[in-house]
Amino acid sequence: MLTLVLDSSAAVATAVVSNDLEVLAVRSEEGSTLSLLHDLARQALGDSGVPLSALDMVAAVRGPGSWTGLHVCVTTAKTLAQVIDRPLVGLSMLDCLAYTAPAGAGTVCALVDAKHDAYYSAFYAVADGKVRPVAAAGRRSLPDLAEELRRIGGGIDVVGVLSEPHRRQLEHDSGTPLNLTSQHYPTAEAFAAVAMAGREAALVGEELHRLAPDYMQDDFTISSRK
Amino acid sequence: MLVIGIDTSCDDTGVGIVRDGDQVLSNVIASQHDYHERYGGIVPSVASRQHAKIFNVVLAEAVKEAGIDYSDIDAVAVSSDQGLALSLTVGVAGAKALALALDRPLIGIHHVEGHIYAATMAAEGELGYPFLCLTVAGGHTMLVVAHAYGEYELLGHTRDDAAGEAYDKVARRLGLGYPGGPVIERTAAEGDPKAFAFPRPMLGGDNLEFSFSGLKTAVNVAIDGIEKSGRPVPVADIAASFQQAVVDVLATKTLMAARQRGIDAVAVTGGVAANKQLRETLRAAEAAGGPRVYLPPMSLCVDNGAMVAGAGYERLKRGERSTLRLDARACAPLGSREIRYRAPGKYRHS
Repeated sequence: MLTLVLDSSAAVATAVVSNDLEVLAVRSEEGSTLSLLHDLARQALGDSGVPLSALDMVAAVRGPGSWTGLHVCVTTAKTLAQVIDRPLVGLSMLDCLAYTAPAGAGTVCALVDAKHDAYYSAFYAVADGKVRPVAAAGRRSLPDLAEELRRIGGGIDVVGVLSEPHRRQLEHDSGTPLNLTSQHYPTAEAFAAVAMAGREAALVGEELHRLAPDYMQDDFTISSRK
Repeated sequence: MLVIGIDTSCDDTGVGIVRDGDQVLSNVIASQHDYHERYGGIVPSVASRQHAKIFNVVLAEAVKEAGIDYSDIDAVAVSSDQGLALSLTVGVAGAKALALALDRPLIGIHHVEGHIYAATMAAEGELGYPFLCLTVAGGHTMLVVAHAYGEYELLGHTRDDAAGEAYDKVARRLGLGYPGGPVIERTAAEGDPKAFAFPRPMLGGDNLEFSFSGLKTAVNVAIDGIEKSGRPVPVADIAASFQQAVVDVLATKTLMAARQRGIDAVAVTGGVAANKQLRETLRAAEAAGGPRVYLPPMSLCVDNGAMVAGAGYERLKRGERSTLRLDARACAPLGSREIRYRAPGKYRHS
């Protein structure tokens, strides 16, 4: 399944062209995501030799992440899918980070900084190359995150960005050792894998208008906010 | 040439499709007034969210209404300069995706240039250059001479609030709701425009600058005084007197500018151009031997995509193109003379 995956949820804009789980091309650049994303998509398509019209699906990170970047990413993907009439799938940045964890990681905590001493977080069991959620994604304050870490227990690999003071506090409060991986941003393979995993939930036709950044979903940002 | 124009510069999501610069095939505008009414003004973050939610629906509707397929579109134009940064971002992202998907040229347009161009779109060839344009809305109030397409000379602009913003704030103070323009106009119809002697800011002398902040304050002071005295606030009289002051300033300075520059054609564009009293005042001046007055239909006065498509057509004809690296600029100089009509610090590339 030929897929274009777009992400501009952080200070990096990324475009990945994949065929099922195989990455055909990737372009990534730091800077103004509005300025960069479309050109990177054009370049990635050119690198892969896949014309836009040959795509089977468009995917975009829908959050959590930067407000403006998510607008850029989601609007771009929706418009591309709308014009070329292809299915559209929204990806969780936390899922993408989890798929970036080392193969034998065991329990993985994916984190995106939510500012104000809080993190968007989700927990996964990683085994045999498979990634399975073990705790709901949500915005957690540091005390809530420590509580969740204590509940899950054992050694936990962290993917994403976690500040050193917060790591020390979380380890102290939860009694759980945290192994910070070097992965702060998803790999192109992870983007491709999450897009493939989400293909059954892809939106088609007028349904694609429903795709919105996570922060616009009440159940994600409001009910989990402390 | 079929150009699709996109405008998300403020609180309206507009997509229009225009053939050869002036034949409007569709001009779909999704208003966000209901979302901002509770705040009595535009909340940028709310505006941006609504653009993101509705943009693709408006795009689909504009294409459907025009009776075309996406593949029929020859070029994409978008308001990329001047407006609320978060709002512009959505339109620019959508426009660039459209250009990428269709492999068509892209052109970024200054939002105010779209308003100025709207005057010529509706004039069916009667409005030639040069003409004087009063473009007045919630985000800007300025008098420019349009010497040619893309070549503007700034005669005056507001030193503080835009006229439309003053309408919104006064409407909020009077508890009339949002947007201020229509509700003040409706309420003013029941009031006495001479009941309060509100100031006509900067009307003395021959300068063509505007200021509406002091007028807004004068209204607030008047209401404060009435409330302290325990008397009921004469809402209709205040609305009528405020509107009379705004119209007096706008019309007087516009006609004075036409006289000063010897220009016999005046266009009024922007959301405040919908104001009936302003239109009637200028029409009356025209009938009394003043300059010819061009007032575009409402659909081209408010923020809309068709005006952006029209302006885009003119730029594309000149061979101008934007790249896929086009960015949004909340504040940008206007036209080839790079007119700067906001505080210098606001311009990113000053």
